Amino acid sequence: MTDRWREVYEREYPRLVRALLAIGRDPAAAEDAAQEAFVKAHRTGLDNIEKLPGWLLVVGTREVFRKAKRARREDEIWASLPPRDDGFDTSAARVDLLAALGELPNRQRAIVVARYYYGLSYDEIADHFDIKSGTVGATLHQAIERLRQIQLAGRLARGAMR
Amino acid sequence: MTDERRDDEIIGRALSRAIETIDVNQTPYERSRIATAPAHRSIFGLWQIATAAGAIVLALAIGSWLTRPAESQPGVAASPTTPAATSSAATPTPAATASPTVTPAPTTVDHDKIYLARPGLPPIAVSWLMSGGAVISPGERIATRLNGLALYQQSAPGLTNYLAKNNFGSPGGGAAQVAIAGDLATVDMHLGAPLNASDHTEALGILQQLVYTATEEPGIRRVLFTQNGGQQLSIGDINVDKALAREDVFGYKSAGAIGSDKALTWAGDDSIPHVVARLNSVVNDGTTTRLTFLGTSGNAGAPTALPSFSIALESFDDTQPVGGKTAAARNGGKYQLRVEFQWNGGGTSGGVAGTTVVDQTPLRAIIGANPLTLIELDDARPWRAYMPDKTQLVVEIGGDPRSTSDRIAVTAPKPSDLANSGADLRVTGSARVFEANVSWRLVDPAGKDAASGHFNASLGSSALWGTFDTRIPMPANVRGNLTLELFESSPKDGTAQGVVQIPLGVR
Repeated sequence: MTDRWREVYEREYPRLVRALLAIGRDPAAAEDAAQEAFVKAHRTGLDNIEKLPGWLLVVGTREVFRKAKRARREDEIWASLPPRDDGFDTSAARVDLLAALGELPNRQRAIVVARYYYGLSYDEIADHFDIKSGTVGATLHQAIERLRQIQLAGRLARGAMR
Repeated sequence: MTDERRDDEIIGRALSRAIETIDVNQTPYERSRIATAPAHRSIFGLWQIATAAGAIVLALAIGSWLTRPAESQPGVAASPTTPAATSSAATPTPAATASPTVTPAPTTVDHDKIYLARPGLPPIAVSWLMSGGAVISPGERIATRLNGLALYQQSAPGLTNYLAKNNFGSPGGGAAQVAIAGDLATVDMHLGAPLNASDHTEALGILQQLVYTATEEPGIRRVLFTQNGGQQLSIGDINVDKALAREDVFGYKSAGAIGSDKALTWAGDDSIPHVVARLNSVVNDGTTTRLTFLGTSGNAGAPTALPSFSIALESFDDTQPVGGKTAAARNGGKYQLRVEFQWNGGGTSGGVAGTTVVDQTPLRAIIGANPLTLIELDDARPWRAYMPDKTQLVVEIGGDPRSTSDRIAVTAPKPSDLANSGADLRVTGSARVFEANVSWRLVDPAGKDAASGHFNASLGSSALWGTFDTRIPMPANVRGNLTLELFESSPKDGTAQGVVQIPLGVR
């Protein structure tokens, strides 16, 4: 039992923290929420959870949003995120993208992460996040479109400053 | 894929790669909360409080009006203390010992009954011979029974007559006026002094005695009590401001599923002809009523797999003969549980419409036999059914309200049982929860988890309940008054559903 949990934890934890960080933009809150999601999963029992990664993401996301109401220090934290150093341009692009993601409304941010980082299907997203399956695609498209605009705006701004 | 979708996908993937490059603090498993459980964390604590609050809200929703005057009372379902007498009352057959006048097996349901209370448990009827002979009206009979409560002085093990202890019997006291409209009785109590109760448990006990005794009259399902000419009746911390049915005061978190549309149906083995479902045993201790049906080949053959069946609790008009028969005896209860088996293989089952009058709370009579059995009951307390094996069906009604929810019923440990710290505690009962997974936690007086875990019942979320007989480890370092909670972890979000809370003394 314990070994099973260790295996699950080691496989899912880093991804979950990253996703929650991308969604909530607060490293401490992301860690806290990820730990909390695991505790709830542990209580519920592995056998009772059909698709654990998505389940953890949804429970963790809820935790993150709950905490985000308490602490709003997002922007500084976001700015301080250390991207991995593998070339200025790409990392700048990544920071742009992540920053742009941070500009989206909570719900859109969560759905974008669930879709593209976790690879959940539209149906799974609809089910987990309590939205109509027909609107998942539209919401995602809206979010990405917004992302694109924000990123573009950021790039233009930086270009203008050079 | 449209261009638009493909563009979205490209950005989405780039985003995914960007997220993947975020450096995060990777807490090793050994230091994770699940590996260090049950050590306590702030957020964890918050979550517990949230679920505890949820449970209290639920209890309040059901019993809110009962507790309105006393802010500190968390509700009927969460009565905090339990006198030691409770456990002794729950085990033997108090109804039998408590009604010495019912010595021979009764042949018809007897409504010369009044109810005595048990802390934390539903009340139990004892015989009270009403002044004989004269034809009296339903209203007079109700008044006579209620006045009997004040006069009944016999002691009965585990049962308390709070009304004899009260000054209800003071000169001029009693049920002065009873008016009846349909199934509602309005009773104005003439009280020399207000009804006193030392605590909420006692106040609820008094109310249970009054409501059950007044509704003992056939045809009466609800009663509105007032005092001294129509004023609101108050009993200790309870203000009675509406008409009450037995189900409003019996102490369970919810009533059993009522109606044929809520029937429990099960597909048994219908390939074997002429299987008789014989009612093999009836256990009734005033708290739990348990009927066991055994499939036999023919009327006295070997145990055989049971055929399909359905079980439904229905409201019943107890002024009418059961089954619309012209029998003079009206042996119905206010509710009846219909247990109906499929009869396979032609011919008739040979079942006889016999009547067994039990007349011990809550079981009034058992009518009929294979394939249809009617179980006549006093109220709509929760019920469940499980199969220990293919040949046996157990229909269980009631249980200790603290150990019983709509999806979990614990038979051991009982509330106020003692447990040994550091040893295993045996936990038995039945459950109908998602994927058969029963979660538990042991809560210390500060509201923190001292231990937690989960185990499996024999069946998951099917119509039939599953059973469990397991051992859970009591932590070595914890002593005192703890609460064992069993619940279903919601598969959707992990919240606790159908919580039962069993107070234990850990030494």
